[in-house]
Amino acid sequence: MTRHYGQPIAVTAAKSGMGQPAAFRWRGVRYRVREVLATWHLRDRWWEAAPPADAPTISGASDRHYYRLRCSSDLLCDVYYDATRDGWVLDRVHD
Amino acid sequence: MAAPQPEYVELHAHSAFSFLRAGSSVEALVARAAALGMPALALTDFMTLAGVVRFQAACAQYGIRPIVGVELAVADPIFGDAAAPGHLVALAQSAEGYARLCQLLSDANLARPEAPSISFQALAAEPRDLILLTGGRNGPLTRLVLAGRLSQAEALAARYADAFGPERVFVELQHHRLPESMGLMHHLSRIAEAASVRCVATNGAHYATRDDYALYDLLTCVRLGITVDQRHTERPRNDEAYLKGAHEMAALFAALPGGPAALAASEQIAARCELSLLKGVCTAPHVPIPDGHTPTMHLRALCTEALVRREGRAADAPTHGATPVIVRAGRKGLQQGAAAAAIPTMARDGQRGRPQDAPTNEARRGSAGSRPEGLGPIPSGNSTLAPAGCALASLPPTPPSASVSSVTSVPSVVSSLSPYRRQLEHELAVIERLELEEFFLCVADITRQARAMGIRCSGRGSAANSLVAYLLGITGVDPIQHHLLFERFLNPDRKGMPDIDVDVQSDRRDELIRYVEQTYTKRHSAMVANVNTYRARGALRDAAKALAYPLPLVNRMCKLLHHHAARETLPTYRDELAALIRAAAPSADCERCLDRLPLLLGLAARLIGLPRHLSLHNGGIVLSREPLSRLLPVRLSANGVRALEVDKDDVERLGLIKFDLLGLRTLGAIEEALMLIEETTGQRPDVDHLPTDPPDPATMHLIRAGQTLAVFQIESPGQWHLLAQTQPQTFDDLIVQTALFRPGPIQGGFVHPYVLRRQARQRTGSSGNGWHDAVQTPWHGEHDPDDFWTRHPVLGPILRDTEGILLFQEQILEIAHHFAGLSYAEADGFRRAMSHARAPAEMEAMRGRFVAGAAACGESPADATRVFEAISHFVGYGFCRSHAAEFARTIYATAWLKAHYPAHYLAAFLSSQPAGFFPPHVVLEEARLLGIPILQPDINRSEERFTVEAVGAARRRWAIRISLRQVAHVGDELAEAILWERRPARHIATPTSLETASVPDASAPRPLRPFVSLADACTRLRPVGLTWPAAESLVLAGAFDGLHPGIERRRLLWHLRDIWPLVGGKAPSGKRGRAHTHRTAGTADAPDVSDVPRQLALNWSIGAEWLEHVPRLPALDREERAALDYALLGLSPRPHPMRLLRRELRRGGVRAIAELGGMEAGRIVRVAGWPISAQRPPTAKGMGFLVLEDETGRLPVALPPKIAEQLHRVIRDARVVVVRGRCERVRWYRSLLGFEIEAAA
Repeated sequence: MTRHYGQPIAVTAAKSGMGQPAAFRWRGVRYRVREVLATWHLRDRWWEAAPPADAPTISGASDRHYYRLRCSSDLLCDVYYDATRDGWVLDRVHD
Repeated sequence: MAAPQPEYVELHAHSAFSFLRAGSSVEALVARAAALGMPALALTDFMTLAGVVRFQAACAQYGIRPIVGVELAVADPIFGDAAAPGHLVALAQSAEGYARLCQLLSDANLARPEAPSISFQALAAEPRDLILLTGGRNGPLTRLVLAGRLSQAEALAARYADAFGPERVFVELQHHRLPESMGLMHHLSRIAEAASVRCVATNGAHYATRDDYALYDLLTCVRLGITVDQRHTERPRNDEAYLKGAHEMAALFAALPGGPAALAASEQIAARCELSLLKGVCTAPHVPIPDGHTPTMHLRALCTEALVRREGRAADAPTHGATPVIVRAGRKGLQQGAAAAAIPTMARDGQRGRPQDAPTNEARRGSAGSRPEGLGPIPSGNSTLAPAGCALASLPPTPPSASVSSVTSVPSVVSSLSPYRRQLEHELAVIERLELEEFFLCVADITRQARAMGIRCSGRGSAANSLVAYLLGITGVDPIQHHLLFERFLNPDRKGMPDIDVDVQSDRRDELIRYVEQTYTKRHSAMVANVNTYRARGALRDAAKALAYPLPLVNRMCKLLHHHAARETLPTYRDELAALIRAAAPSADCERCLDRLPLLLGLAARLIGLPRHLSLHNGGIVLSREPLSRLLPVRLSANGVRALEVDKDDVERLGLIKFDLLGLRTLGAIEEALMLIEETTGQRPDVDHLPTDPPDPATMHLIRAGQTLAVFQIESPGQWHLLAQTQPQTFDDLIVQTALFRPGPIQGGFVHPYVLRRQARQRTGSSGNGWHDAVQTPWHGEHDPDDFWTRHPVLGPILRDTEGILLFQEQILEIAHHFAGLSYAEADGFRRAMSHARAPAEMEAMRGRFVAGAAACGESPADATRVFEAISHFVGYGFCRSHAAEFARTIYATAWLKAHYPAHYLAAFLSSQPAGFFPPHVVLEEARLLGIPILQPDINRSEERFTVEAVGAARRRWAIRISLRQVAHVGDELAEAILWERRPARHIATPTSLETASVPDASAPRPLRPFVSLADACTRLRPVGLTWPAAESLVLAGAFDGLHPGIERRRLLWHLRDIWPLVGGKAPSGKRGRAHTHRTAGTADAPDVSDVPRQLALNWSIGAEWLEHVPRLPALDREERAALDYALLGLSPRPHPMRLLRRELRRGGVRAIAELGGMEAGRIVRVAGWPISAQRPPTAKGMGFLVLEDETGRLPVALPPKIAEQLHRVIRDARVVVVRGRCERVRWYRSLLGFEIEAAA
């Protein structure tokens, strides 16, 4: 079972903007990344302007670097770094 | 300690030569690979090797090793026959592997030109020297894995291994950072292991850097015919398919077991591939030669035979007065005298030093003094003297023994031979040494066949420097008579193949190409391709369509751009395009189009210069002894012609033998004019043997008077100006005139000094003395107070016939030879090196060599340096004299025809459009200005092409009749059908539809059946292709006026609509059918035709009665008629439309162009006219040039840069332009220096 969230998160230990996340905070809980299971990269709608940070994530240009993570508290989730908005998003949580 | 450098070579990379499947040029890919430190790179474009030559050249430049491969579309029915072919990569290990790839691609291209693909069986038939990679996402193996058919994938891998051998098959692993990438690679690794084959890492690069991703995606959309807003499985999902370096690839593959080994495999494969295409030596195909002859003997026999015949003709010809010859006499300079017989042997290749004993070349210089008397030019086209072709072809064959004996006797007495014989011996020796006999024989055979077929042709370019080419009939200019230098064309030191260009009348060029294909076989001959690259308009069009701009808007946007808009200028159109979008885009699209405009301009600018597709070169043919399909892939052009996949530059780089059969419409116009003259007067002038010494007075008068519109090469306004200044007197003046008005001499600043000197000499009437004080030296405005150039004993004579100006490339050779003591071969090498090498070290080396050579000849170092500096400035700007001489022949012939048969020539010229500098309506206006009556199209009198008719009371004037094809919507087939219907059948080709039993005897002339009415014409022509638009155009263009005198065209159109259903036509829509009647369909009092019996409708005599029912309608006024003429004919048989505005213009103080004729220079005037030409040439420093036309003449207008910036925008929207400016004059020539330009209100 997978649940979509699309919520901005604060990644605290990434080496750089596109580096692998080491930990993040979501809903007031800090999760440490135990393992990066997979990574992938999707880019779309390059012909559109980058949307403002508070715009819905489905609009405008996107340049997303995804990470499937196994985290503390047995959280299995997909997060991505959105290069067009310069921010991290929790995309999905796998039960 | 630093980590070891990972090993990686990209073995799967696409360049823009994959045509809409990649986003970077070959050069960009190679540069990126070099920057990444790759030792090698493979180019694997999709189903083509079109970029391979440039790839190798770029790799040589950047010092990396090129690997040649191709991504093949392999039709292997594992996904069913209907599935798209899978993509496999095949790399050539060697020249044999490369030849195999060429053969595979050629077979695929020729078998299925619309969608080439090859079968796996064909690919696996000869796997030697090929390495197979299993491809990326479109590879069959990957597709099976992605489809979950793993067992089939394993079987397929095993099949590859069986067919190619496990050491030649590599399973390709690509990590594009997609969600499925890692899983896919794991599966592929296991499959490879099961099949006992290895894996190799590639990145399937489609662009050089991440920045090119958008361009790649855009091009993918262009290829798929979709917009960026539409999804498609072939579109990329991210920007990871760029050329990645070893470190980046190592990081990607680190997590994959076997990843490092797959990376290392790339370099190991690269090491196994060794191929270089740029050092091949190719030979000409075999040419049929008589038994017992070698090609050398046959070539010698043909040349000697031609020379003997010409010498015999010369002996029979009337003798002209002997002209003094300039002969060099050691250090005492040149002396004049008839001392040609005393000329010693010319110094040639390998003979260095000042040619004290070799002034033969001087003997060829100067005036016609060195010309053997009575030697006229060899015909290069049809003539009454040689009706079935050239004289060479019509001569009885010479017995081999006779030819051989005459040949063998020649060398022993070389020194006592005529200049022609000596030159022939010299050229034959060089040709033999370079093993080019069959090349010459081959080109000679083709030109001879052209003449035998009645196809006019004429050699051009540096080949005209060759006496052998002249004697073989390849070229038409006598190189001895016109002081042409063979070494400019060919010499033993020259690298690469010689270039022979032959102009052929365009309309029959295909016939000659077919002859080549049949004679030399399709395996050994093919045309050259053109690589069509994006230019501004095309780039904007494709990008805008992909960015979802509405098509009508795209069309209008493209028209805003200048034809030759440069990449840098695209952003300057932003405001104008935005205004157009606001005005023209549908409201729903407007905002989106405006938002995307900056992106559009940026992408369009980046597209400019990228290859888009291949097309057929307009004349280049490659001939080879080895089957061409092993050298380069061959493909079929859109019109079914076999063509190589590379362009002419690549062909030359490869060393292939190429010559150009260039279509030249002017030659067609000449031939058609001669036919018209023969048909109407019974005589056919021999324009190939026109007297040039002295030249025809009427012809030269026409040229000096600037009445050169429609005359080859000298019809532009710039040439009018130059002609007014130079006033050519002789044929040699025409050669100079041809060469002078070129970008090189203009940029080099040679034109003005030449004009000043010539005018000064004409004023003084001097043959050389007295003019040099008043003007500058030839080079760069340097003053010449000591008369160095003109008085120098060596330089003066070399520059004499160009008024002391260094103009021709041949003059450099002569200076290097005579002044610096180089052999001619060395001199040509020197010229070439000076043209290309600009590195300071190379220039210094050449300077040292030149100065030392000159010093050895007794020149001072200062003088030698001065000459070297002058040459180094000039060398990039010179023109080939032989090329100019060939052009001058055509100039002279066309000017002669226009001077003596203006109506015939202009009619033929109009039929040959598009040709020349001006559009057809300007050519027709020229005829009108010359007093030639213009006759409108007539259904019973007009022919397919423009014709002439005798008019006037005594029928002694010739009028031009507008052709049927000129009428809109009347194409070739309908025009032929009209002729068929009204003429005896023997005059025209039999249409296929009539090759039936309904024509009892096709050879018997049919009775002449003119059309008697509009209804008759419609009845008879409707079944053979008369359409409503064509019928409507014919009526409105006046083609039926002669059948219905006094009936206004609006009424005829009404009548047409009434009878159209009766002849089986679908009734036109009301709006269209009544477009010119000012009435709405269905409201007229036309008879109801629904009850008309069929037999009545087919009775064509009914037409006149029916016309009575047509209501009276207002006649077309003059403006409407003029507008219809230009809309339907593109020209008008009526007086110039500017006449209609004249009264209004006069009231506004605007003058007619002819009024400037008597005006002094300096007057400020306002003139209006049609802009018939507008240019901003890159050599003009921003100046603009416009030509205005009104009913009284034409006026060139020069516009300063600031005004010229408005030029394109003003003339784009205006039919009539008003210019205010200052009148300028040179003899008869009038022009305006414009201060203001505006569209007429």
